[in-house]
Amino acid sequence: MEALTQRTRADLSQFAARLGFADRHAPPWPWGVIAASLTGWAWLLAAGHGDLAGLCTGTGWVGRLAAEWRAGLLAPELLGYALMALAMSVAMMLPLTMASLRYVAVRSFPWRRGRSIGAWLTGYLGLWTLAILAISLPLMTLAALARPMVAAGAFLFAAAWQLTPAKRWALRACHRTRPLHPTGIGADGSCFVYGARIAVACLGSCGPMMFAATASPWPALAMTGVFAIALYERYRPRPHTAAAALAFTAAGGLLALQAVL
Amino acid sequence: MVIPVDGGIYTREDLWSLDAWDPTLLWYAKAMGAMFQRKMQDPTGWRYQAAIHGYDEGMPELQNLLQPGDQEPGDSDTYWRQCQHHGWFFLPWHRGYLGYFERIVRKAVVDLGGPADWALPYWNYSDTQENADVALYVRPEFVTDTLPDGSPNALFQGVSRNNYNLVDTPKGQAADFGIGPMDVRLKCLTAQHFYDHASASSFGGGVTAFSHGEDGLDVSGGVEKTPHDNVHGDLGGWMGTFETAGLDPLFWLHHCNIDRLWSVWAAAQNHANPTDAKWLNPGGQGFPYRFHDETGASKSFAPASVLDTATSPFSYRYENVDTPPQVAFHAARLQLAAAPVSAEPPAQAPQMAGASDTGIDLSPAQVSVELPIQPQAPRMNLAAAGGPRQAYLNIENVTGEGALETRYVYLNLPDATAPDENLYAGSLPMFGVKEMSRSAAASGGTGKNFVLNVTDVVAHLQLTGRWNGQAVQVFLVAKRPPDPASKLTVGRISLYYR
Repeated sequence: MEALTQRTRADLSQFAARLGFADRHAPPWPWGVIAASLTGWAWLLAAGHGDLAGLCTGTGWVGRLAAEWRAGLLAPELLGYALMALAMSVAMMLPLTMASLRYVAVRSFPWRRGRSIGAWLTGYLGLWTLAILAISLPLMTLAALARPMVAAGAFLFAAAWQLTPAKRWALRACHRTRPLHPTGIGADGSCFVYGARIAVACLGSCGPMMFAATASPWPALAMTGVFAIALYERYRPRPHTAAAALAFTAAGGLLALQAVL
Repeated sequence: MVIPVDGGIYTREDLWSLDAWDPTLLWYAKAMGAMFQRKMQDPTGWRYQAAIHGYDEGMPELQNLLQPGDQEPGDSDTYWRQCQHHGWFFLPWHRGYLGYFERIVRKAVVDLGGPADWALPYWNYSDTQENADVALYVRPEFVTDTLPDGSPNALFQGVSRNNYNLVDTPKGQAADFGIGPMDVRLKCLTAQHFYDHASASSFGGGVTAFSHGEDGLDVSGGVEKTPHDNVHGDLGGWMGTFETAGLDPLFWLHHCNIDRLWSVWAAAQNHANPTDAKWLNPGGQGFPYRFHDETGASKSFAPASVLDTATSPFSYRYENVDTPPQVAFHAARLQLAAAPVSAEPPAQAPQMAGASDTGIDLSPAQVSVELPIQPQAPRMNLAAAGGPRQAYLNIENVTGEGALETRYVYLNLPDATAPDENLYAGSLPMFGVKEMSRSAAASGGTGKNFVLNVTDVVAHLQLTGRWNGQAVQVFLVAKRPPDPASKLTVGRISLYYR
C-alpha cells in the first residue's frame, strides 16, 4: 500500500510537470489553455441548461439535436452544433496539446507567434470539430434510439481499440513534432498541417473512447472519466492503456446486460 | 556486507593511471563474468542491470543473450527501461544508477575473494596532461581474450563494439576506436547554468518531467552531448543504443567520467546545482527512480541526496576533480569572468532570429546551409553594450537510419576543406538518433534536437569582420566518410538570440 501511495504521488507530480508547470521560465501556456478548457466546459454546461447530466441527453444540446435530426431540422442548426462541437474539442482536447502549443511558440519568430499558434489551432480544432460532427453526432443520434445496445457496442469497441498496436502508435504520434517553415504562408501552412496531424493522432488515440462516452446513458460521468484517462495517457510516461480497456469492457458489459434485461 | 574504507568513502581512480591488470580491473572482469551468468530476472545480475537502462525484447542482440530459465520479471515496468536522457535528470539518474551498480559489483568482488574497497574507475578520455598519449584509446584489458591466468575475459569476450585498430602503448596494445579530441572536448564545463530554456544550451539539460525525449523540445545538456554521446557513438555496438549500452563493461567507466565531470563543473567558481524543488526532490518521497541494492532490496533516491558524492548513499569521491586546462581556452573566449553568479538561468527565453527552410538532406559528407537572419530580429554586436549577448544554434528534428556518422558544425567557414577551430560550433553525435527516429519511439519518431552555444564563434566572426548580421552559413562535415546506405536528415536549423 505504501509503495502504491508513493507511486501515485510520483505520478501526480510527474503529471503536473508534464502539463507544463515544471519550467517556470516557459511561456504561461498552461494557464491560458486551462482557462480555455474551463470556458469550453462552462459553455457546454450552459448549453445543457445548466444541467451537466443533461449535457448529452434529452435536456441537453445533443438530445435536442437527435430530436431535430429525426425531425429533419438539422441543416439550419448546423452552425450552432458546430460551435458546440468546437466547445467540446476545446474543453476536452486542448489540455492534451500543451507540449505541441509550446513547441509552436518556441519554434516561431516572436513577432508572428500568435499567427502560428492560430494556424495550428485551426488545423487541430477544425479537424476535431469535423470529427465530432461526422462521427459522434450520428452515433449519439443512433444511441438515442437504441441506447443500451449502441452504447454497449461503442464501449466494447473502445475497449478492444485500447489493446491494438494502432492505439499505441496513435498515442506516440501525439508526441511527435514537425519542423516548421519559418516565414510567410509556408509557416502558416506547416503550422496548420502540424495541428491537423496531431488531431489525427489524437483521434486515433482518444476518439473511440470519447465517442463511446458521448453515446452512453451517463455522458457527464463518462466524459469526465474519459477526459481523465486521456490526460493520464498523454502525460504519463509509458501509460498502461490496458487498464482503461478493463473499465470500458465493464461499462460495455453493464450496458449490454441492461439491454438484454 | 562491504565496509567502506578511508573514512567510509571509496575512491574512484583514473583508469589510465592503473597498472596493467591492476586488481581493480582484474576483479571487475571476474565480477562481471559471475554477474553475467545470473538470470535475467535477478536484480543483481548484469543483464538485469543493463535492462534498467533500456530493454527491447524484439532486439536480436538481446534475444541472443537469453539463457534457459530467463524471463522478464513481473515488476519490469517499475525497474526497467528507466534511463533519463535529453533533460535535467540525466546526471542525477545516472549517478544513482552507477552507485547501486557499483555496490552490487563490489559485493560480487568480495564474494569472489576480492578487495572490500573495490570501486569503479573512470575513463578520462579528455586527459591532456598525465595520460594525454593514451587517453583516447580503450585499455588493453578491454580488447584481450583472456585474463592473466588464461581464463576467459568478460571485459571483452562476446562484447559487441565497432571496428578498431590496435595501438602499441606502454601498457600494452590499446584499441583506437577513432575517438578524436573534438569528440571529447570539454566546452560543456564552461556552461554557466545547470539547466536552461529548451532553445538554449546548459550543462545538465533542459527542464523535463520523468522523460526520455518524449516531447519535441527536450534537449540534452552540454555534457550529455559531448563527450557523452560522442563516446557512445564512437564505440558503437552495444554502446550505440540505449537498450544494450549497459551490457558493455566500458559503459560504467564512461559514465563514471561523466559523473566526475559533473563534480568538476559544480566545484568551479560561479557554478551551482539547481535549487528548484522539482529537480531536487520531485514527487517527494515517491521519487520514481527505483533500483536494487546489493542485497536485492528495492531502493529509491532523490537528486538532493546525491549532490555530495561522499555523503550520498554510495559514499565515494574521485581521484581528480581539478578543472582541466583546456577549459581555460573556452572560458576566455566566452569571457566567463564577467558572468553573473546564479543557479537559475535567466528568466528571458532566447528568441528565434533566423531559420533555414525545412528538410535538409545531411547524407553527403559535407553540407552547407544558408540561414537568413530576419531584419526584425535584434542586431547582435558583442563589442557594443546592449542587445543580445548569447547566440544558440538549434539543429532540429535530426532523424536517420543505417550506420550514422558524427557531424562537426562550423559557421561561415571560408574553405570547407580546411576546418578552422575558431569557427567550430560543436558536434552532432548520433547516439540515440536512430532510436528516436522510429515511430515506435516515445516521441513518435520526432528525432533528436541539438543546441550549440555559438556565442564564442559569433564573437570571433565579429572580431575578424566576417559577421554581416544578415545571414550565417552553417557547414556540417562528417567526421568520417558516411556509409552510402545511411540516411540522415535535419528538419530545420535555427539561430536564437538572448
